[in-house]
Amino acid sequence: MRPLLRKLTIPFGLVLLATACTAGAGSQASAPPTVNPSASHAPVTITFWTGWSSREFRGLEEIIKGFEAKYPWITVKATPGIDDDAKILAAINGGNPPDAVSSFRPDYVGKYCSTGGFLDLGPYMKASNIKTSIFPPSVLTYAQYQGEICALPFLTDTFGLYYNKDLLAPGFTEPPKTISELTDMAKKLTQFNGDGSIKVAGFIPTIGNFYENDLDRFAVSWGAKWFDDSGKSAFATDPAWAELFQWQKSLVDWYGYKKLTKFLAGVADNEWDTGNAFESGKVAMILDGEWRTAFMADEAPKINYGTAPFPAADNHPEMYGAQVVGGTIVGIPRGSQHPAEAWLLISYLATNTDALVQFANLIKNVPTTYDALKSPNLDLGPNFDTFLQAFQHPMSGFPPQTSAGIIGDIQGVLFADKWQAGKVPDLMAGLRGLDKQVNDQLSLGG
Amino acid sequence: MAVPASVQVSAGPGVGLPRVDPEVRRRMRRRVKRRRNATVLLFMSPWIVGFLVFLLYPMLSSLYFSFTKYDLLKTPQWAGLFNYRFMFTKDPQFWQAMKNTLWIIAVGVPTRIVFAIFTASLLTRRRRSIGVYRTVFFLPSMAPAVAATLGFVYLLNPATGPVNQFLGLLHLPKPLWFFDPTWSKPGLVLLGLWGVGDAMIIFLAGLLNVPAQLYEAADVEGAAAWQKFRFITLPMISPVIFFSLVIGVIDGFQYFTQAYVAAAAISGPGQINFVGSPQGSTMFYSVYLYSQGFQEFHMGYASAMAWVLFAVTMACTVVVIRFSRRWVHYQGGFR
Repeated sequence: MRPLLRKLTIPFGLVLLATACTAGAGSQASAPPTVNPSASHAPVTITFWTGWSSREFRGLEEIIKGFEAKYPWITVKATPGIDDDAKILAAINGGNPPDAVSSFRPDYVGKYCSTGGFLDLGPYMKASNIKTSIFPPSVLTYAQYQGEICALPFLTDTFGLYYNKDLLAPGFTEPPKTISELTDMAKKLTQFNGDGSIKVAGFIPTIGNFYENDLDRFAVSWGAKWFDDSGKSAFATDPAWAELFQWQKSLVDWYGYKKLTKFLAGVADNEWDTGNAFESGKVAMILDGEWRTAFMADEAPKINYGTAPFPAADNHPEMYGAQVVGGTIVGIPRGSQHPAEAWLLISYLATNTDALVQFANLIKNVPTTYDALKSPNLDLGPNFDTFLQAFQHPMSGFPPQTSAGIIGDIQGVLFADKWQAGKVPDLMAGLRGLDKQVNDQLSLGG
Repeated sequence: MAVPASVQVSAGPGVGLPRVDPEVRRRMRRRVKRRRNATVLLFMSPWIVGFLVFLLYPMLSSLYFSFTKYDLLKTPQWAGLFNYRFMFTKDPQFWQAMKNTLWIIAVGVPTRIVFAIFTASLLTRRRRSIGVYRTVFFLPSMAPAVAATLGFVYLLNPATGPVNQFLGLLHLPKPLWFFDPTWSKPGLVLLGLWGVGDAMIIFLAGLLNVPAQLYEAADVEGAAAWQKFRFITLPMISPVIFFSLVIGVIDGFQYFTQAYVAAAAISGPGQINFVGSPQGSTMFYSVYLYSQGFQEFHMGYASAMAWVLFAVTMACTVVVIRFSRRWVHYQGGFR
């Protein structure tokens, strides 16, 4: 062996050994430590990371005060603005996570559950006698993975059609219920400028580059299946996908892709401000989340609008009223120093009716327990009923989780970006390629 | 003080110094050497610790991870060459990212060098307020990359940006810039040209260093301006061009911030899957690596990509250095 190689071998080996030993360390048994709330306790401070910030975080702090009043020996040190789950993963991996976290990424539940990144909450729920039946089934589609609950839902989002009543008239009085009606109305409500550019768009059909126009939300209208029974990607084998993409492309082509892109360029960055295309009257109908009702009240109180379920494909009337449901999750990361107290906090946030109603009223999200949904104190406004109904629709739910997240949606949006621009000459060949890409990406998981 | 037995005093004329036993002398030398080494180590220790902890350990870790499936939460699972095979045989996005990266290097780097030389040439002329002009041209390179990119996305916005409004006044075609895959990379090249100040300042120093008597001799010979530039200026600043080329190639392989920010800005704040927009045209190698490692949490695959990036960057740099022997001229004759 050469001297240099010999000199390097030992430290290299030690580093590899250390790497192998330390990576992924920190797993702990999932037996739940219990706390008797009525007994006396030494003061405990727990840390809680949350993605909310500014006004919403201040509202959350009020909820936390209620928790601290109920459990006076616990002080919650909440950190706002942690809206990137990479930070949560890094903290778990580094062995120094907060005691409890909230995340805006329900699509990561599969990863958190399958890896033990979040503790299995099943034993905690059993010990606290909390049953999953207190949650509507739609939230359980993302709060659990392969039967294991490792996160609790804490308010959620769903989607519907917002329509500008002033732009709807004359000719239409009711919002569309089918995709054909939506297409017809979109074309008739579109207004062009003298130079041919779009002045008011009836409905924007592009996927992945306009506000909440994500593939999974359109897919619900066709009842499209993401995976077949053998767990393989089903873009090419479920005809619903081809129907969806063909409809979407035909409407894009009606506008003209370049014309539509130029129109989008003027509003793309304004989803969360007063320049929002719907709030400023530049689109007549839009797919958006329930939170828009709060923005409308705050930023565009003069707009005369209504909400309705998003239209269903003509051959799938059973999907009318159904939508994607997915929202904030709360969990206990592996390595939490105070898992028992953290459980008290997240179970309070996820199941205490007063807390859920108070926070839902503030940020205009959908409350996530049956009791909160029935609460007389719920004050979400008349346009919110659409979303409460979508939330409880039997076909509503979250796209299927894998250990790689919602990989079908991620790859599907990339495909749609090229498809709608006319860069995919053969749709079926493209969908077969998409299936292969999804299946291959699944093999990358750990 | 008693003289040690090992130290004998020489009786020789004119010497008068103690003769030290060779064994003792060796021991003393060794002790001095050890002390000197310890001192050197002590002063170097901050760097050594930094090198071991923040460079060598992560590098070796990533090498190990590149042979595993690792999602940051579970213990890495040994996978042999799976990640490397996947990269080359099953991942079209990898090849798209590589193609985009080679484009930005092949087009962006030479364009930037030519523009930097041109700008620096303008600023070599002696005139009043030349210092102000030099400062003005250099200033954009001080702008943070994120702010500069957002500024360019605004300027080149096809619906509301002033650039297209100006082009419209001149009845020229109005590209969709960052919203069009054909124009997104040229838009990024324009952004690079705007911030050319860092390269320009180096070329300016190089140009000012060219001896004036060479131009005077050329004038006597009746050389035209282009001939002076081709046969005097270019050879004399060839080491600076070479330096800019090497740095440009290395930076090109690591091209990230501008592409990531531009894609996020055109997609709007609500989009999660924006990287590479539009249509994968801004999916550069480092962007895709980041996406795999920190959005998809395929850390094993991202590590393998990082090592391939290292190998390709190293290979290209070696080629540029080898090739440089044919066209880089050093005044002192050194290489």
